[in-house]
Amino acid sequence: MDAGIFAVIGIGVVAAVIAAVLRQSKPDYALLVSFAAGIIILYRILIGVVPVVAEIEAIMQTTGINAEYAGIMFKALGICILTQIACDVCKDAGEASIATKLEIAGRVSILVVSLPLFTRVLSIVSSLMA
Amino acid sequence: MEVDLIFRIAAIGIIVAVLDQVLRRSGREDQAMMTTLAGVIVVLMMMVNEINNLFELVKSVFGLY
Repeated sequence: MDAGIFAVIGIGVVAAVIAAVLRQSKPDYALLVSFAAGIIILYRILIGVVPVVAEIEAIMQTTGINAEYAGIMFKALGICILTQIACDVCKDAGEASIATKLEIAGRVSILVVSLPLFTRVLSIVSSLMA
Repeated sequence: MEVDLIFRIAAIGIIVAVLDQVLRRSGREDQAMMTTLAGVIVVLMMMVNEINNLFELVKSVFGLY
């Protein structure tokens, strides 16, 4: 990500200028330009994140923590990112109500993903109390 | 995932805006609307592939299956 940060900054600034130019004649294309810029920037960020995820998983392996926990954490992170993209696009399009529903959907799916951990914590607590 | 996508969308937007103005000035409002709609569809078709790429990357990086 050493040279990547400059590319990302350039993409963001150029896309902002293009969207501002298009906004007065065609506002819907300004929305599409900002959406495309968001997708490209996020793609570049995630390509930089791949080694970080592998490193964290390796650390988890060496510390002896169950690898399933790291998997659940990364799943929640991925759901957060996808939901945030969709929410931002809906808010830019002026549909705040759909964005709110998408946020609720993201929260529910994160809850579903992390529910096994809750049951495990509860079983640990009950075994401690017994 | 190239930056060209932004420039292509911007170019399509400018072309559609010009065509829209020309058709509107010559009194063809319905064709102007069709041009706008076709432009939006073309841009969306271009972006669908990139969105798919991004979602596949997120799925593979964060283990969402």
